[in-house]
Amino acid sequence: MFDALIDGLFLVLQWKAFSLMMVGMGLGFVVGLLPGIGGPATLALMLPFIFKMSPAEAFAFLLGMHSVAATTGDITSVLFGVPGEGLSAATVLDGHPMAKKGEAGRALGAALMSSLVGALIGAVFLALAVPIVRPLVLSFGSPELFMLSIVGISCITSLSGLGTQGQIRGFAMGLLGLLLASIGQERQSGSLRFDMGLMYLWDGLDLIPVLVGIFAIPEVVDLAVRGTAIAGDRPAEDLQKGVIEGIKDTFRHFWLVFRCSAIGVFVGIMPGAGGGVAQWMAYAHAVQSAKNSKEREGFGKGDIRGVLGPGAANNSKEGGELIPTIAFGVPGGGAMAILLGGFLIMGIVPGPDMLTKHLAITFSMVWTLVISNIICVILCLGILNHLAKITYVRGGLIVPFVLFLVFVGSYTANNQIADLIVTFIFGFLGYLMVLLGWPRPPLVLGFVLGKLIETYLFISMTRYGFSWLTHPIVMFLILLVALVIAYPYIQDRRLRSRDVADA
Amino acid sequence: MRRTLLASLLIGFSMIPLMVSFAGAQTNFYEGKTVVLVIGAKGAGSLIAATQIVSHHLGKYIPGKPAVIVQEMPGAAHMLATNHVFNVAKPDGLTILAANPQVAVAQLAKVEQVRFDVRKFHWLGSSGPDGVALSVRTDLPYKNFEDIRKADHDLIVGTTGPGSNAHDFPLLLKEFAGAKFKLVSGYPSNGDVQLALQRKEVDVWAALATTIKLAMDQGIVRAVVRGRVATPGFENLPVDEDLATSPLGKSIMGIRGLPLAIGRAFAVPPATPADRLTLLREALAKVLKDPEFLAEGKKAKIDFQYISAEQALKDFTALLNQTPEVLKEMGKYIKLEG
Amino acid sequence: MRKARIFFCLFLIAVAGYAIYSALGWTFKAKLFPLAVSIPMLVLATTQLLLDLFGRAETGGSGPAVDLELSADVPAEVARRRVIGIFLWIAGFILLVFLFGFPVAVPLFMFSYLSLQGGMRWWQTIGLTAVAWGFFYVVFQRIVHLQFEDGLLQTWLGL
Repeated sequence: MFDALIDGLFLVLQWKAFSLMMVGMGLGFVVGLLPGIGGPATLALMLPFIFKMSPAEAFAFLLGMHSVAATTGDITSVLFGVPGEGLSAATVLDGHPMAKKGEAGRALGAALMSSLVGALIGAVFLALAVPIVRPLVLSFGSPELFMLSIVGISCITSLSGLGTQGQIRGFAMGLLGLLLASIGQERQSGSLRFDMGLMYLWDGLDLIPVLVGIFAIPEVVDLAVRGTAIAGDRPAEDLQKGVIEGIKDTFRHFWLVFRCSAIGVFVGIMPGAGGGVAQWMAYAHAVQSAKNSKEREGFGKGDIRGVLGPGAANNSKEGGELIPTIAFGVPGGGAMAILLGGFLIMGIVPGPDMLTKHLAITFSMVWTLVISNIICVILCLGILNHLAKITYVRGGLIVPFVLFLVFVGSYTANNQIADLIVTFIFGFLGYLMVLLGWPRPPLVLGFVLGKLIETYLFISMTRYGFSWLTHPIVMFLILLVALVIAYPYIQDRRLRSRDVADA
Repeated sequence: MRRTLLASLLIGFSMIPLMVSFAGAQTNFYEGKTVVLVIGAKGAGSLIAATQIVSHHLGKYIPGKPAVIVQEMPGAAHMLATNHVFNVAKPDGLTILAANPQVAVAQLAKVEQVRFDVRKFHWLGSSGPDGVALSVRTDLPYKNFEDIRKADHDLIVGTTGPGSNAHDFPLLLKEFAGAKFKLVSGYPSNGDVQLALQRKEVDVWAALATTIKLAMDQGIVRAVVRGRVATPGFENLPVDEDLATSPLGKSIMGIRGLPLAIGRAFAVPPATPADRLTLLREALAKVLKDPEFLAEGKKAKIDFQYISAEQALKDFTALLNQTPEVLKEMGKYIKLEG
Repeated sequence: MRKARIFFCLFLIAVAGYAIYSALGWTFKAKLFPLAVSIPMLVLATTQLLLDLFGRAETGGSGPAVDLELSADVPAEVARRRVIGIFLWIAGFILLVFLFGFPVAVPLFMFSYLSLQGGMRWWQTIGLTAVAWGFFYVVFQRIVHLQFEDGLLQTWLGL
């Protein structure tokens, strides 16, 4: 295995592969900044270019592009409140408020550094996991995957406000998300649900238009209302210091970053779980790390940990997602599906071969993740300060530009004009929710997990009746669910007693 | 204020012809243009891979050497893309549908959202038929279909949902050939079914022959039954239609299998000018003989075979020509995605 | 604000009600999940409605949710006008895209918005629009080769 590790490194460092990786990175940089593109749609457009490349070169190109996009996606999330990738939405929650407080540089630095740490941890896991990957993934059957998505959804309690009304609203939104996820064709029987006679809705609502609408539009509205620059009427922050501060923050909270990376990797490994979940679980976990109730309420208003958690998880899940893709040919997410397409074209069959005969290629992918992220961070550090200056530009100039990004992004996800209307509707809904105090993260979580929960529940019941409830991993996960649900309440008790003690 | 508004509107509107003139008149129509292959699927899969490979070489054989790209427009099991190319796309020879002939079955069943007619599309031809095969896990003792008929308990079949090959092929074998199957559907993709196979959650899996072959090469499954189309490596397997115990079953299986015989077909909208149509048809035929193209197909383990436009149209017309009784029965089993 | 809150609850109740009503007619497998989700949702939304109607008034503009808070620095009247305004602009942009397709709608929108809302000199407006349009064209159409549908107007005029 060690030889393969070194071989893999040399494959990437070859002149042609390396320069292709840089080209991919350049593309990924631009593409990650622009919402909507950078996801599977654009990756698919890059496929024609790989025909003439060798496998190592092709993956250096594709992965270089994809992993950088995951990092730069956080940039638009912070600066404009527009999720650059469907997966950077959680970064918006605290990243953008920080920009509004004039701390854009710090948020960017934190997002970037935590992305790097997350990517490295993800790559290390990928490399280490090679021997155990197959038994690991194989031990997670449909019942286990169902329980895992329940763990995901139980994060809602952490994402909603404390107190009865907060929890009621959080759960109601989570349920609404689940309900929205059931629009479209039901997988088991093929019957159409809630399609209102529109063929557009057969496959249900697509995530990107919804996400971009629900997060970005309220921000744009707020910007238009305030009439100032994003950062308000503050004096310009010493931006250089800001970015460095953000980097330091990553190491101040290193243990949190590590745990969130681990969450990202683990969720990424689970086929079908989808990276969209990882960032929310990481965010919920970051919220749980609040030390008193005042800190907890600071989340959503600019707590650096709200940027660190999702930032790390986003990138570590890349490494995680590669695992089922390479080892089994089951894509861990949308972009991985495209990568699989690339595999097919290259004539590479994902499976045990990739972990034995072609191990060097697998490791070349690991190295690509590592190297491209490091280079990306180094290069970005230089320009981050200048990017952060955008938050001081007049709102009137920024608004049309952001709107343009929002809608082009929403359209290019699926090349459907109807998506624009979806973005508008959810934009309006998002605005109302923010105005009236109904939390958005639970809705997104419910939406992302809805289909998974239903599908795996049905498969488990059809296949195993009720006996799956006694599978060992399932029982462990049930305990975990209980823990995750209860945690905010336990924490609240502890904090309250601590508040009383402090008073 | 009003003057600015007027000025902006004027300038704005004057930009329109500017954009439009970009399309401009050119001596050779295809020069400098982009041909778009629209496909109704997303992600990975042999259909997409095959379309990518075709797109890689098609430009070479069209005079003017345009760029050729693949645009994914997923939705409603290829129907969104098919509707789009039939009704909305400009019939100028720049938009080509990379079709999944399965949509013809939707038309047959008079699904209300169908807004196309496969007989009115101008077909360019097809890059090859697809076979379908049913396979069993290698560690199970069932070696052929007889064993499955005589099994003492229901074998678990993993499917992706009604309307897919994974679902309909075993379903018809169960209803009309006496296979002892229990269908567990809802797996998000074929990859997930394959994973479930390896986890021993599922025993049987049906899919396109190309896909099954990959799994066979890894020793995960062994193929047991095939559809009418014989793809290399599968010729010796029994055909599902021959295993049917009733003529009705045989016809329904036949209908189900026809689109696969047509395979990966390409079409342009009905109003496309005849000269461009001929151009494209010839280009497709030449691509399928191009040695580099075939080499890439081999690398991707996809078998390419040219099927002419006439043949495709003949098959589609035959498919749509069914008796009402057969249609009624078919509706009971073949529920289309929707 | 209180009225808005009540309307929102009613809206949720309506959505849940619609879901339950549609789902009742489906097959077992199809209706299980939607019902399992919409019935609790109905309960929760109703509870919240009752709390809003009869409970104590909440302090602060929005509840302690882990989410964004809109800025309150601008007087309510101005804010309301601007909110309606921006939504109209957004709707206008979408309409432009429908009519003219992205490649035309983007510069048109930029230009109109910057002229009417940007408050800059006219040559600045044109300059910025040109930059935006150039960016759009180069990145989206040339480099990434994305295809943008034609708008209705182009189809009608047969362009």
